Amino acid sequence: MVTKAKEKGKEQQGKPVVGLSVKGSPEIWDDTWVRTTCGGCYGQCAIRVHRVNGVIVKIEGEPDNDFGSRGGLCAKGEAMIQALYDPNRYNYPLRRTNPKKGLFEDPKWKRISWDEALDEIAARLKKIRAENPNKLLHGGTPGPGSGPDLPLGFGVFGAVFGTKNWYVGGAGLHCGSGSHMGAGLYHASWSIVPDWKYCNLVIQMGSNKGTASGHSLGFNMRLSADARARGMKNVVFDPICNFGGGKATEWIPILPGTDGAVALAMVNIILNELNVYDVEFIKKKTNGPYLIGPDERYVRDKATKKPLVWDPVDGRAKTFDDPNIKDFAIFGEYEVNGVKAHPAFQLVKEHVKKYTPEFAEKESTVPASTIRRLAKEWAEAAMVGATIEIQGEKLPLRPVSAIMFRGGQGHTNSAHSYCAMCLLNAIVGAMDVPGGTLGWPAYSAGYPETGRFKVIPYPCRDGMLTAGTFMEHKPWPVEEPKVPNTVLMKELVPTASFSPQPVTSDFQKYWDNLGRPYEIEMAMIFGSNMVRSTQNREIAEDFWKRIPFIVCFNILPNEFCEGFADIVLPDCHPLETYGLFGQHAPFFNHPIGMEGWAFPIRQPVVEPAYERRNKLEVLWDLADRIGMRQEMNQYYNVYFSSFGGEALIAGDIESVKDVKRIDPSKVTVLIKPEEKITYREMMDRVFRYYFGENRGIDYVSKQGAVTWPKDVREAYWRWYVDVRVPIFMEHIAELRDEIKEKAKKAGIELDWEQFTPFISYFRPQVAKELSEEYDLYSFSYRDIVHNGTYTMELPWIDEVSHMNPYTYNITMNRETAKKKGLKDGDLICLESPYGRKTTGYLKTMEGMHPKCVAIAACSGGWAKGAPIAYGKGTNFNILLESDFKHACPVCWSQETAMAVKVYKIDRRIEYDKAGGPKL
Amino acid sequence: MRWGMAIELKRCIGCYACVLACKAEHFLPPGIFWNRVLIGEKGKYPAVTKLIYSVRCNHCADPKCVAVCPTGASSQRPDGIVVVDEDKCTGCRYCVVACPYQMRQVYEDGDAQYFPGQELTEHEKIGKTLYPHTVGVVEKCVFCKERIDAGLAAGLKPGIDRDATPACVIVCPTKAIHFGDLDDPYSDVSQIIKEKKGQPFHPEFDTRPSIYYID
Repeated sequence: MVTKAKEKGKEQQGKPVVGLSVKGSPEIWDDTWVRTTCGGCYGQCAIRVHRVNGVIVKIEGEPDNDFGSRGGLCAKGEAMIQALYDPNRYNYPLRRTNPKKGLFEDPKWKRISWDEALDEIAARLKKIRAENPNKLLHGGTPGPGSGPDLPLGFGVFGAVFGTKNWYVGGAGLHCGSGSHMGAGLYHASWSIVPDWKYCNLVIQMGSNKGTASGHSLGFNMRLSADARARGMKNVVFDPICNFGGGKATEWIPILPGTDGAVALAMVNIILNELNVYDVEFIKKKTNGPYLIGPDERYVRDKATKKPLVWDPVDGRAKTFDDPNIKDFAIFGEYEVNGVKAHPAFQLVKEHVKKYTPEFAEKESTVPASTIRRLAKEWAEAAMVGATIEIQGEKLPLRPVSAIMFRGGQGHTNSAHSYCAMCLLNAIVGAMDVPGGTLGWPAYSAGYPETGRFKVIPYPCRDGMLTAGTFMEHKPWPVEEPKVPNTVLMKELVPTASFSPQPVTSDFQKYWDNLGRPYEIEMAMIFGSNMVRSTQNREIAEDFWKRIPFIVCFNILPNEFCEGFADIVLPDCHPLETYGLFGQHAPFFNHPIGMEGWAFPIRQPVVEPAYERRNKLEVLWDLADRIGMRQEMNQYYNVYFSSFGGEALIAGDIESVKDVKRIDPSKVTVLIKPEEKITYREMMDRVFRYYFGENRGIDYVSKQGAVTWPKDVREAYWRWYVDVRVPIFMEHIAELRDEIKEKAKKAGIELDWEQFTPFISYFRPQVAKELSEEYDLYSFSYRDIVHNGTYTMELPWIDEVSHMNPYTYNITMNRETAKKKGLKDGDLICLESPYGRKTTGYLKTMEGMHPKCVAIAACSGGWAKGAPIAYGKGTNFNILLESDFKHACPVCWSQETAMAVKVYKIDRRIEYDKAGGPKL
Repeated sequence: MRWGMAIELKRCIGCYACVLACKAEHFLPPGIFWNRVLIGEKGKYPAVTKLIYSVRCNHCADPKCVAVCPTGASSQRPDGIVVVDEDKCTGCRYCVVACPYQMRQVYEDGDAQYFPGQELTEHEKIGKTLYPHTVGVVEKCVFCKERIDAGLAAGLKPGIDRDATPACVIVCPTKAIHFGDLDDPYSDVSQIIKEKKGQPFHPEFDTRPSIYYID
């Protein structure tokens, strides 16, 4: 698709460049705008890229569709040009010649040919696949600087290869184990967003939504700005008043990991003092009416095993889905199946009584009076009973929304904290209705002309909400716990989204106890930086240096590639290559509410230079070499067909667990098994399959996206699908004994107390480790100009990071610093109770909790091949512990805050062995 | 006709998109900024508010920089845009000192590179052709006059049509920056300034800026 600009350009000589400042009259033979998608972060906003004389000169947001900021773009997107043209990029396959691996080892790269690289990789893959495919660990992170081919590339490759060891970079740290689990359970989606258009009161807990960070940032920036401009109240609980807090109408400082206590105290006041709740929603959309026995489990119908509810009109118990139910009791005591049973709602209402605002104040430092006031504001603003008419449909209007993301749920109480926040929305029915909390579009009825690209949530076991599609295993229905056989060990606790294992300090002990079922012989990692962005680097080093052979796909050098890769394969920059999905269709990043559907394309604006290759095509090349291409083709057919509406959404759990068991008659063959097609050809077929014969790649390349209007029943689907959500977490309690049993062999001990059906508050590990000596909470937060570690290497981003007083500095409350004898510009050391230390320069703030000290982004780079990033900022992750003691037992999120003591120091000690320029 | 801006502070999130759009638009060399984002805070813990201001040359109606320029290099166009003629500028810095908003800079290091000690990127190389910068002269925001002039010539309306509107305005992901003719009482920018009582930054400098901020 890239024009041979020189030939074509002859006739264009002298034509003025449109939409760009040009001085004088240079010869211009190529002046082209190309529509594609951004690769600056996970958000994948629709963009237009300006190419002049074969060089990309500028990137702007796409004004013509809703998949982004409608013409706007953030700094990360604009600066992508500098990663494209970074002189440090990987251009050829490279082999490590230094046999030693370690954090600071120089790989001593030697250029090799693609054939040499792929032959060696293929030989190793072949051997491993024959022996035990699980010996291959694969993973990475989608996004920054690398394409988003997470499911299409590595997901499919790994699944077909047969390995279950899929390790996501950032697991538990910058990713949201609790939030993905919770968003899946309550919204059939991966993430949640306030319905900015109609919402009047937003409560954000550890979330920057709307301020240019995180997923779906494009439309979030645009819509949240509209909401603020029209006067929406935005309450932000956060230890720091920077990005989220900086745009709050009310910033409320809070101790890290205590958001759950505040949410539960609010629920308590609303239910027990204000007596406000959405009765219709509780009765029909939650498990609130389900009868609970003295064993804290559902009382089930003996014949059908379905949960029972009490029909007060007929005065008897019925199964929850009995068509003749006249009403649901949500209070009272009933004798059913020979036991005394109570509706779950009544028990939940009783349970939260212990979370008084005074209790929450003690944990969180949020004044009890503030909690009471906010509970009252919430109950009033929720307008329970109000309706709104949109497109002729009468819908509940609940203009309040509580949301939480990484910060709020990055603690050992992750699952409960997130669910506590969801409870706030659930009790007033503010879920996927106008004004409330919306999941990323979980309901797509399909493209109007074809009915394909369809995903619909459905009721599954016990009538509970089940996502039509999900990135990981679906949070509902939960699978059975198993004795771990993967190094991630996640099958032990099926409520876990991601796992910090095996890159922990306790993994080897458990693996020994399990009799070391096999050893990881090879790792294939794309994109991410496994030693800088995920957890403590020494713990990571200990794991990765044991792996005999590591292949990295990347565009730029980073600490992991330099220290641990045996072979590096040069990937294409997002502006050099194709991409089909902006992650996992259709819900990832798609705009919410009545914003239109847009399926954007990624396409090359310039040809890949040197020997860079698209990683998906490299994986297919490898599949050819190991005789696996046919199986991959078949898998793609199943994958694409599943969004066609037939294969996965039928509620057939077996098919969800294992695509191989899908009925072949439901699968459309887009790629014949023996075919060897290009990525472009695959995209063409998929576009035509989803959107009709005349909307192939030529059409979409020009248009930039296939767009169509959203139906109100898709946007606000909650009352159009017969599903319920759990306010009583029976399944979590149900899992406890079985997990305990299955954990014995490995010797894994988890905080079993958290496996309770009652959404509760548990003090986070960080608070338990605070002492007189280690007296401050340290935490990291996302800076909106950064994402992962790669943005640190972009010179423009570096310049604006210097312009910002906080980005590269360690921030502390001004009064706290004064008490410690510290002042702005001091070089300080943060030391954890485990003896881990990191250093940086102090910048004091008023907008900072006095008990906290904070570091922005994944800074503090030391890779020699990333000179712009070297020594900038401070690596926070050095301070973290990585083990089950520091992980949420339910969803396995890592504890991402750490107790520290802070003191002056004379040098950057964490650079002692880095071997780079003196800092 | 007098071009001006209105910046809605409630919308602005301090993402620096305007700064980088300007960098890309004019191929600004390292260390040169025609616009900036000022970050700060007001109040005492816990009653704190973060302050974010996107700032650039205010294209004042009474520009002190123009008044002090000894060579006539700094001048004001009839549409209010304050410009520097790089052929006439001697780099004497009177204007740099005179501008109370500190929005002027001298481009001094012609060898500065974005990747120091490494080769120039393709982007830097093409920039030297499309938008060359002259060492030793004063640089500043010109409200993207090239876009405005070319846009008007093509029948487009600055502030409405993307191709005729300053780069920092169209890139703003929160639509915080409005651009248009301050002399036209019906322009979007005049309307919002009137309706929401826009104020210039530091009105006490008494230069009658063309950029207004809206709380």
